[in-house]
Amino acid sequence: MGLVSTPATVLKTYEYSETSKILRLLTRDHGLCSAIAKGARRPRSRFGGLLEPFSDGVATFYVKEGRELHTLSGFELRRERQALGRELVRYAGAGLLTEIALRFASSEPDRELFEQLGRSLDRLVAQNGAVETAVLEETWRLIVRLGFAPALDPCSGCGRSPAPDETTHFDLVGGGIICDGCRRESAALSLKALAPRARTELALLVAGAADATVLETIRFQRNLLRDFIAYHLADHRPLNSFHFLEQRLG
Amino acid sequence: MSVIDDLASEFTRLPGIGRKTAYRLTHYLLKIPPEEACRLARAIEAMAERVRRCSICNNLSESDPCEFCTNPTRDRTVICVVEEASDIAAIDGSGGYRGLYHVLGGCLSPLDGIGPEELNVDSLLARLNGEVREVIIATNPSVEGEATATYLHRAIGSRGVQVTRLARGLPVGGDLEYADGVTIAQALSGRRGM
Ligand SMILES: [Zn+2]
Ligand SMILES: [Zn+2]
Repeated sequence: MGLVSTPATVLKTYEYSETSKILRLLTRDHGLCSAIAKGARRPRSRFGGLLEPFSDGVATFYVKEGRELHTLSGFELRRERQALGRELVRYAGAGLLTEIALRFASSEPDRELFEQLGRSLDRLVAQNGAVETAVLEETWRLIVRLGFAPALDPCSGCGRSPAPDETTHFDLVGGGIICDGCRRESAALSLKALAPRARTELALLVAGAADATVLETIRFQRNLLRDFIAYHLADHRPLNSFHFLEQRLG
Repeated sequence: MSVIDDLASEFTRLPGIGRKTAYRLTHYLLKIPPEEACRLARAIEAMAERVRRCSICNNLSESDPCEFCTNPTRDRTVICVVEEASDIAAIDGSGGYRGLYHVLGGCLSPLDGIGPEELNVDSLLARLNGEVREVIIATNPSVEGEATATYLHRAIGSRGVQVTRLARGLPVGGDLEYADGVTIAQALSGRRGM
């Protein structure tokens, strides 16, 4: 394929040898990929300061058929997001978004996923107040974009829409709600009770409509998101960043 | 497995060394006089046996406490916090600093599961007795280094100690370890309160 150029977000960097870095990139045109930036750790490298986590730019690299690791030949910075390091909840949230992209994006290009990640990181930089709500909402946006949207209506057992004041249950493995009647008949073990208020606020978050709302059930939403990712997406392996986020929020 | 393969496979465990380089190094060692190869082996052995972490600052040293912590001519009112012990050589070599050090052992990284508990933060806070007046945070000029500095600033907070950060000018995303002495000395003298 030869030399390609594509918009890219730096998800993670690893030190490699004395002087180089290996980058994990989410690219617009080549999906998730890895590239080696030779000499990037030298102080006067032409890559100096560009290859930082959360940065956006146009990456140019050589693609060799059948090779996993490409060689970066240039990176033209479009947007740095160093400010994320100046506040720890934002930093933790940005870590969570990039870890989700690293774990669940594929090498198939997904333009909308790429653009969503960029918008989500921008929001974490700019968000004024209600940072935790923003982190949860942007995380749901990525999850929905990755195709793991939870089914909040109707009940996945009987197909009935629950009444607004009805307490339902969230099935972490199945990824949707179950009404009380169906719960008694099902053997699902991974259920979490979902009070009416929690269901309303979860729907706001998943729809991306929470904005700067101060959520009444924010602690519940945080735990539900953590468990949903662990059970439904991550094969029961929780994400490191989520643990980090929880510690920062206390 | 032959002793040659054995040594080569040990080399491949080192950072940045692949199979090819590992065999190149092994064959080089086979070509030089045996006593030279043994000298290298003894140096590695001596290092592994004698070098340890300083129980005060976590620097790597043959003595505990290390030569910085025990040196009476160092300024004991300032502590310079670095990510790795290898950063100390770069800062001390710049000639712009005569205080004490503290090695964190890394930087905050959500993806790697490295939080403050994984770093030597508690032992830093324990050192902030009456004598220390300033803590200079010399984490790398990267987003992770910045987040670590933000955390330390808050953790040190109200202990009556001034917290400063190296001035800009160090290349962002670069590694302190590789920055030149003049740049480091400038960053030190231009440090600012956080
Ligand atoms: Zn039902
Ligand atoms: Zn020491």
